[in-house]
Amino acid sequence: MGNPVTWFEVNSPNSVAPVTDPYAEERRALVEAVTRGAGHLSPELRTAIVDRTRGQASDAVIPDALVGFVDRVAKNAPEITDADVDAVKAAGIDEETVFEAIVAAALGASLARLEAVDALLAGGG
Amino acid sequence: MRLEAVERGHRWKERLILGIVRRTMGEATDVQRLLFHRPEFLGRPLGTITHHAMRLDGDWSIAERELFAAYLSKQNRCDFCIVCHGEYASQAGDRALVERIIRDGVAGDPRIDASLEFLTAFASGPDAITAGQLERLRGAGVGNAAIRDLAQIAFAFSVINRVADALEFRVPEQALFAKSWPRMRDRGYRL
Repeated sequence: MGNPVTWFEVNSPNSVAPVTDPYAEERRALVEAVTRGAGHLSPELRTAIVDRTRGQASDAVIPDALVGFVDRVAKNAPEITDADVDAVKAAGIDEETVFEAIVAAALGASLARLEAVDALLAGGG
Repeated sequence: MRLEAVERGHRWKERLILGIVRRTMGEATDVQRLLFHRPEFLGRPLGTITHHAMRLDGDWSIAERELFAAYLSKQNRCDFCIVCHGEYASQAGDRALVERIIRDGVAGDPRIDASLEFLTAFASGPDAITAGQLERLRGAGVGNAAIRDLAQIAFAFSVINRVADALEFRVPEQALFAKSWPRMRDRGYRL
């Protein structure tokens, strides 16, 4: 994932000093675990869910039974009901897969926000 | 808890840990069941970031960090996390003040008020986060490192709030969190 580990902040017209994000490595490890760690859902699909919920385009196709559900996790988790989870399971998706999809969607929605903050910090905004 | 796999699908080692939690605390919470379910997938890597933001050296006090976790959770309408971190903030700080800030969204302290505005925007979405909010934080004396710490708190709880709500965590009595506070204060969030 394209999280910058280091960028450059202009401190004065004559000096450019590297500014390191002390959380970058920990965040990279989290994204790695959720998208590529051992799991039931393929790494491609987990990555696609993270990308979709962080607002980035992806070529991978998320199954119909999951796509609306992961959007709800990202955008309106408090309104999710038993029926939503039951509908996903009724489509033949096992519980470990549902678990991974929920985590990937929660991560994507949260990364989108953090990346907005990082862009402002990097831009000196 | 909506998924049986997360309720009771733990491996033997984590089952043992949850058993110890039940014996010492009286019950294990759904967040513990979540984080100890395949801990290498979410619990351990997210716990590392959460611990870093909530406990390691920084400009924010422990009470302020717990308050931020509770306030972000309120914006996200996550009942479990509001009760948990509201109690932790009260344990670490001034209960009446914490309850008033969570209820009204106003602290009367420019550093905290600018932080609450930032957290509200963070909960709302990436497009709601503006340079003006960072300027207000800096104007209140909050440096970039402290802004980054605040943002990681928001990030970590933004993840956990969504998972808690999607799985419908059962909210325990607030007293359970009063009981778990001394350990959470000293040991923190690392799994």
